[in-house]
Amino acid sequence: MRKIAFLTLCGAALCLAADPPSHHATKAQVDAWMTSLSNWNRWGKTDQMGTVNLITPAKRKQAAALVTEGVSISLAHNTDSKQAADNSSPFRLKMVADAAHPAAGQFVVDDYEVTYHGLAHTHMDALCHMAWNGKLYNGNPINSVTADGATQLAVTAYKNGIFTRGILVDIPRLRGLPYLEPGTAIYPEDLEAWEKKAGVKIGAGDVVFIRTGRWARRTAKGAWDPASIAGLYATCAKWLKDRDVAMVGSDAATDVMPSGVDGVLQPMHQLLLIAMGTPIFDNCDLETLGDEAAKRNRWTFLITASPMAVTNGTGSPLNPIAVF
Amino acid sequence: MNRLPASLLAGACCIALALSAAADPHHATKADVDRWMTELSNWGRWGRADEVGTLNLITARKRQEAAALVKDGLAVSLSHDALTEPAPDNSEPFIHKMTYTGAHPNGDWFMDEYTVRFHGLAHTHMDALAHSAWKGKMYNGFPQLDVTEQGAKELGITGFRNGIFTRAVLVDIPRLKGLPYLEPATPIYPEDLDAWEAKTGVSIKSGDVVFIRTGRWARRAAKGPWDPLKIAGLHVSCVPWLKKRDVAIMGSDACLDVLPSLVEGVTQPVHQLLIIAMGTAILDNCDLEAAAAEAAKRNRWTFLLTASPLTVKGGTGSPLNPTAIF
Repeated sequence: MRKIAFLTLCGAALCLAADPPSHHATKAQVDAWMTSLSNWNRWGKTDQMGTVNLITPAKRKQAAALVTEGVSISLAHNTDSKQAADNSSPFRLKMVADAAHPAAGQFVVDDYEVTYHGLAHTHMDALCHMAWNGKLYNGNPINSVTADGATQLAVTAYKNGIFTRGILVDIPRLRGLPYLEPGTAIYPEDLEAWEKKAGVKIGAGDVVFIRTGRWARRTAKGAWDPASIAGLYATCAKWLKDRDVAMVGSDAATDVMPSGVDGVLQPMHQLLLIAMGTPIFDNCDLETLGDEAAKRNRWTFLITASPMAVTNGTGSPLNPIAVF
Repeated sequence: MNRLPASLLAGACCIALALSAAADPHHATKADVDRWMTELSNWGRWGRADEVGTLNLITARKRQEAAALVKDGLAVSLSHDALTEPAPDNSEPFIHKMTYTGAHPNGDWFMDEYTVRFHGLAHTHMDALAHSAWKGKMYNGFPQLDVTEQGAKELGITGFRNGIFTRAVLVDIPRLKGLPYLEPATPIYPEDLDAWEAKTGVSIKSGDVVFIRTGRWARRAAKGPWDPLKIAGLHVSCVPWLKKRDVAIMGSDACLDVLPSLVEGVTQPVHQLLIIAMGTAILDNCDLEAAAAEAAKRNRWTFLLTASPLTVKGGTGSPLNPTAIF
C-alpha cells in the first residue's frame, strides 16, 4: 500500500471511526504492539520470511488435501490501464509489434510496465516495503533499501511461492450487505462472528483473505478516493498474531482508511510487515471467490501464489489462485 | 519467444541444413510443417469460440489427481531471477526502478516499478495463444488483425486467468545423456522422449505439462551467456509425438525449439505448431535446475505444477513464476 497524503482527513475520520470506545486505539498502543506482537528473532536473526515460516511441509500437504473438486479461481483483478481516483499509476501495456505492423512477422510482442504498490493492482508486499523508526522487520536497517532495491527482505524470499490453506472472511456476507461502505472498520468481533457463522477456525500458517466488497462497490458506484476505504481496524493485529497466520490478504488495502488511529497512517501494514513479518496481498479480487465459496458454503481452500522473482524487489504483481 | 533477425537466422539455417539434411532420418521440410499445421490441428475441437486450446485437457479430475501428487510438501520455483543486465541472450533487460528508497527524506515506504518485455530468450514467461500467427490466422482461425495496438482481442493471456494446476513431467535430457547440459543447437528427438519415459517409468499423458530441461542455465552459469541463435531444444518431429499424448502446456529452460530449427524457411516450427495449430501455450526460459536436482534426489519426475499469469487484458503472455510441488 502506498503512502497517501491525507493527514487532513485523519481528524475527520477519527470522529467517524470512534464507535465503540473499546476499539479506540492510540499511537502509543500501536507503538507498544510493535514490541509485544513482534516476531523479530523468532526464526533467527537472519530470517527473511517471517510468518511464511509457518507454512511447513506438513501444512502444505494438508492444504493440498483441500482440493476435493478441482475447481480453480483467480483472485487477481484484471490489470487496469485507466487513470482513476483509485488508480494513480495505471498498468501500461505497450504493443511492441502488433499484427498490423508490417515488420511484426509471425510473432507479436508487448511490454508491461507497472508501479504495482498502491490501491489498484493485485500485488504482494514483501517485508522490505515498510520501515518504522529506521528499522525493517527483524531489525534490518532502513538504509538496506537502496536505489538498487532491497538488499534484505526482498520478494525473492518467497520465490518458492505460497502454498497453504486459504480462508475467506466475507464481512459483507456476515452483515447481509453487498459491500461495505468506505471507511467501515472491521473489528476482532467480526472475525470471531465470521468463524462462528462459517464454522472455521483460523490457525497457524493460514492465509486469511478479508473481503470488503471493494470491487463490487466499484462496479456499482464507480471508483472513489481510497483515502476512505473499508478494512481491518488496528486491534485485529493482536488477534491475527494470536492465531499465527502466515499472510493476510484483502480486496483493498487490508487497513481501514482513515485508520482511526491518530498519527498512524496504516497501523495494520506497520504491525504486520514490520513487527510480525507477515507479508500482505493487496487489492485481490474476491468477488468470484466469494460467490463460489457461498455456493458451497465452504470458506477454506488451497491457495497458491508465486511472486515474480525480482532480485531486491519490494513486492510483485501476481495472480493468487484458490483451488477448491 | 521473440522474432529473430531473419538474415542471421537464414544463414545459420543453411549451414545447419547443409550439415544435417542428407544423413538425418529426422529431416523435416517446410512442406511437412505446413501439412502438420492441418494434421495436428485442434481448431474447432473445443468449439469455434475456444481461446485456451489444450488447457481444456486440464479437467477438474486432472486437478484432483495432481493435488494428490503432493507427498513431501516441498515447493520449488521454476523461475529464473529477473535479469537486469544486458547480455547476448538478454536484449531487453528487466527494468527494476526504485521509486522510494531508504534514502527518501520522509519515507517509511519503499516502492518500485517493474518494466519487462518478457517475450524473448531471457525472462521466464508464458506465451498466450495470441503470440503468433500463420498465414494471417491464429489458433482456431482467429484473424491476426485482431491483435492491435490495444492488445489481443482474442486468445489473450486472461484466458488462463484461473491458472495452470496439473501434473507436470520433467524430461531431463542432459541426465538422460549423462551430461551436465546440452551444447547449443543440440536437437532433441522423439526417441529421446521415449528413452526418458523408459528410463523413468513415467508415461506422459493427457493434460500434463511437460518441461524439457536442456541445462541452459547450468551452461550459462559455467560458460556465460551466448547468442541464442544456437540453442538446444525440441526438433519439430517431436510435435506429432506430443499431439498423440495430448499434453496441455509445454515448457522448457530455453525457447523449446532447437535453434536453428533444421527446417529451412521456418524459424520456430515447434512454437508455430503448438501455439497456432494445437492451441498449446508455452512456458519459456524456466529455470529447471533446482527442480531437476530435487527430482533426481527422489528419482521422481512428476509433481504438481502451479502457474498463474498476470491478468493483463489483451496481453500476449506474461512473466510468471511456475512452481513445482513435490
